Amino acid sequence: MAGLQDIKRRIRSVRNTQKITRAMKMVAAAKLRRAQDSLANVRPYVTHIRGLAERLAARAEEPHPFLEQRSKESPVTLVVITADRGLCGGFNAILVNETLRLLREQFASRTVKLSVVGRRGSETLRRRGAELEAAYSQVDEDSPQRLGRDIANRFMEAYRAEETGEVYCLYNEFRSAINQPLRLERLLPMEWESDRDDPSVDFIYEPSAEDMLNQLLVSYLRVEMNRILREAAASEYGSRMTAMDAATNNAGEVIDRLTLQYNRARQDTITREVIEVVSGAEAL
Amino acid sequence: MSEQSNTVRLEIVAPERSVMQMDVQEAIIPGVEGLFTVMPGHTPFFTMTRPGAVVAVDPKGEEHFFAVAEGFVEVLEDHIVILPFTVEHEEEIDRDRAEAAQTRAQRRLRQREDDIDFTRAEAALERAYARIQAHSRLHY
Repeated sequence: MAGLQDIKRRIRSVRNTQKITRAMKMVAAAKLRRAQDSLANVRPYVTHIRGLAERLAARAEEPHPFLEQRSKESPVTLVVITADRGLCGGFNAILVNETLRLLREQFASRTVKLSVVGRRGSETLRRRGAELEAAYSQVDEDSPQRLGRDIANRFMEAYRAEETGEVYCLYNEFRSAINQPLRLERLLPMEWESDRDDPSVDFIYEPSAEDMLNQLLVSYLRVEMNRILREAAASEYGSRMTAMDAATNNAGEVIDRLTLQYNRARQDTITREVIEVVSGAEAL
Repeated sequence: MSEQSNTVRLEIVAPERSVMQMDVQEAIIPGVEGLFTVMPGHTPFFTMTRPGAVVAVDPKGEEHFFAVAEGFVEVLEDHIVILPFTVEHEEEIDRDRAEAAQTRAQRRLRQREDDIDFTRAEAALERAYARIQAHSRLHY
């Protein structure tokens, strides 16, 4: 049986771990709240820009290249949004496994240009043999704008230059702290149900409809990428909060068990001492 | 056509903040091809904004100023949607910061060292003007 001192030491060590996990849970909760707020602000903007672009596209005379299907044999760009840090449950592992599955199955016959946001994901994917075209880290977590813009600009350029025929993004959509389903979204060409109706209304465009549509689509992709980064960030914090909450609870259980063990051991020692005293007295 | 109401619903939606909505008699909007005023029953109209002040006149005739950045505008018969990249209500504007940004941009423009900085400084200057204009409640 472990000595009293050993048990005491273990209790102390688990208690320290619990302090850390509790603090991490608290930090994640605070960050989650901020991330949720910013997500709530960006979502309606994206919806509006998209609605505007859809209505404009439906009335455009010439289809925009961003809306036209390309050959299914062309290379694919896949952008995966993972976290920079671990300790967030299965968050990164699930993304990595899904990415590898996509490479093996859905995109098996095509050249895949893989871009990964987040250090955890890019390191693991490299280690598991995936070839990355670009890896980003969310160093400025508070400004997903620039990162979103850079990523969007890059894939739009590749798409225009016909270096890639489709652009997909794999990320977690934030629903709640415990529910963040994976989504594979096709960004280019855009999947819009273009109901070509309503030509009766005469719209005035300043500048021309083509210019506006182009600018709208570019803005839409940038802000959509921004939204995706925020969805992923909120999901990461939610995931970490849940994981750290579970860790704190587990640590509590371990402490309870060890305390019980400790008390038993102490009781044993006392009993043994009493017996020794009693039998010593009897011997006299 | 149905009976025309004497207000239109104005919505300003920007990525960094919650949606602003109000009913207005008229709205003055800085478009890329010039300032324009929208009143109820305006022809459907799509355009883009440049940095400037949006003036919203509420049903009581009071003017509300918003500093907006570049963005898009959709005018429908009973509805105006402005989608700028940033927006601030006149009361939220930090005047000192806007003025500091203005002087900084002007200084950069005078130096004219490299082109990338030049366009950025120009944009910064426009945004600073927009804030100062909205804060001072000037129509243009």
